[in-house]
Amino acid sequence: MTAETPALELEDLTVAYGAKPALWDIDLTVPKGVMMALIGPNGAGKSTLIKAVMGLIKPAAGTIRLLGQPIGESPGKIAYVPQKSTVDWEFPVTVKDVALMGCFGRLGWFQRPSAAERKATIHALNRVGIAHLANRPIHQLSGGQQQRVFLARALVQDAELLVLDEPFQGVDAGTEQAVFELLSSLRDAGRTIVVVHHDLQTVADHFDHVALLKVRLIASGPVAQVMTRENLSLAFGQGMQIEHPGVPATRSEPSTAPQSSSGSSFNVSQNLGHQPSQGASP
Amino acid sequence: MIEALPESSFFNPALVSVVTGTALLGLASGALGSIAVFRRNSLLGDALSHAAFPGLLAGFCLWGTKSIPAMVGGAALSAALAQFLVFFLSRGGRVRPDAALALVMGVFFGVGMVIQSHLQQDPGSAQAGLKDYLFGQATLLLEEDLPVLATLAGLVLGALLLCWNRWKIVAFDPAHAASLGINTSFWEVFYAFLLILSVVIGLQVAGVVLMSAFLVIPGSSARYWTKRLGLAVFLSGATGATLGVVGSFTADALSLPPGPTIVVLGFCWLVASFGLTELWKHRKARTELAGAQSPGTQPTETQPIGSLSMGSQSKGGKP
Repeated sequence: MTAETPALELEDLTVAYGAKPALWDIDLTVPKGVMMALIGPNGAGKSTLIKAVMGLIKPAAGTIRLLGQPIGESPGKIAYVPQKSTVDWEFPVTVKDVALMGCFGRLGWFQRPSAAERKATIHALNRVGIAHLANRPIHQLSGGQQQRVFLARALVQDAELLVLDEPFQGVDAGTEQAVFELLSSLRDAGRTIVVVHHDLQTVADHFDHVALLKVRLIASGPVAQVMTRENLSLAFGQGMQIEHPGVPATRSEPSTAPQSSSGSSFNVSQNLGHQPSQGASP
Repeated sequence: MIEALPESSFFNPALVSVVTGTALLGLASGALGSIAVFRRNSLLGDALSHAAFPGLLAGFCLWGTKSIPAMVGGAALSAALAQFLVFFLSRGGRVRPDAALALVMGVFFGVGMVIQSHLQQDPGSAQAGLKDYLFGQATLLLEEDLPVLATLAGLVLGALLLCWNRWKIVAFDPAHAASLGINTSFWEVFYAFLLILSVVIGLQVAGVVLMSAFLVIPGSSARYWTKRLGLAVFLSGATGATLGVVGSFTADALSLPPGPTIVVLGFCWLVASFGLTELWKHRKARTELAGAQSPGTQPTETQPIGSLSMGSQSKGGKP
């Protein structure tokens, strides 16, 4: 929006697994200091997008820039909070051990974490409300506590951009609330946050930006501009109605819908909606 | 003084070699194998030791004599090939990793048996000692073998200790490690290299069949005693070394082969670890329960809950 370098810039990004495109020609800009929800149906490529941004998979085409720099040149600038299921919770480490790993990217091969880094770890555990569990083995944690450990690890990493992959799956309401509060305070401190989110009802409550994804980018921008009835039905199909009485912002949407920006994305994604597999042929 | 030693069977130099050798191998394979155990990849060691067998025999075939460098080189090559095949097969997702391991283990061992039967048709007596590699023959450990085993143990321990932060993060969450810019492939290959090295060197002592027990038993038993990775790996190494010493002495006293004796003792220790830690947990739970029931100790029971609610309060106060 402003002249400031955006936190994240994707240009013509295409990622394919074999011949099947998981992401097709994505142009997405995430301004600095926003909290953005990444939404879309199953198989829309949300996790793929995150993996590409993290450098975990190689895109078939396109560029990804982080704070104006190509990714890969500055590893560790993005903190990744994966889905809880990605690690083995029976692994013999403690809560403190896992959170401390956030700083390992800064360590050389032969280095040990410094006292300052250990202190930062305890501080991070405090911020996510599990400092009293610091010495617990991780297999004793509940789902919400597991998510908090990952978040503490991301805090220790102290990155510019925080990327969370469905952090609220199987998590109690208290944790969800606490995580949102923590994320907003990070955003207020100038960090950029991207969250893969499933609950359409709460998008307007917690996020200021949203990107709607279904292999292609259907729309992105401020929540009020993106969460239109048309865009949502493009992403989730006609049956998927988001009738959320508690969200006035999207209520006023129909009037802003004819905007040129959402209009153009409408056309692009309409093609896609009818022939999603055809992207493979060109 | 040294001349006086052979008289007592306890300090018989041959026995000293066996004891030191098995202890060094136990140390290296215990510490290294525990990481595979904690990563739920215990079968890897088994697959590698079986896969080393045909290479070992092929090395013998090519040289025509029992040349140790040729055989060790061949074993390392075929184990590395097996490791690559496991990686290659399980990569596409069509073959599950456990199936890939079982498959590679069986195929390589089969090839080894084919080569062996071919060798046995040869009337030459040079192939006489080859069976030792199948079941291990630790009593054949000589003083000359000790530097090799000591180097292996030093290499494994040195690598683990010096680069501990890398091993830890790559073992626990490789995707996170990669996101921090750590080259996970390098560490995976380095680990495979160390594992192959210990397996190949361990073949003479433990044999193809028992080598995986050397890799898996110490880690599995250490897991009962601690929930911390560093301590668990240390304990595994110590357990492996102790088993080597105790097993060799026991085998000598009872005139048994050392390798199998070590494995059997290791299994006893595994069962004992389970029993002892369960007993300890049970007793602890009982005293805690008894403490909670008496009114005087109730405040301590509510303490964790209090600190927990304090944690959420401090966050609730933020907005």
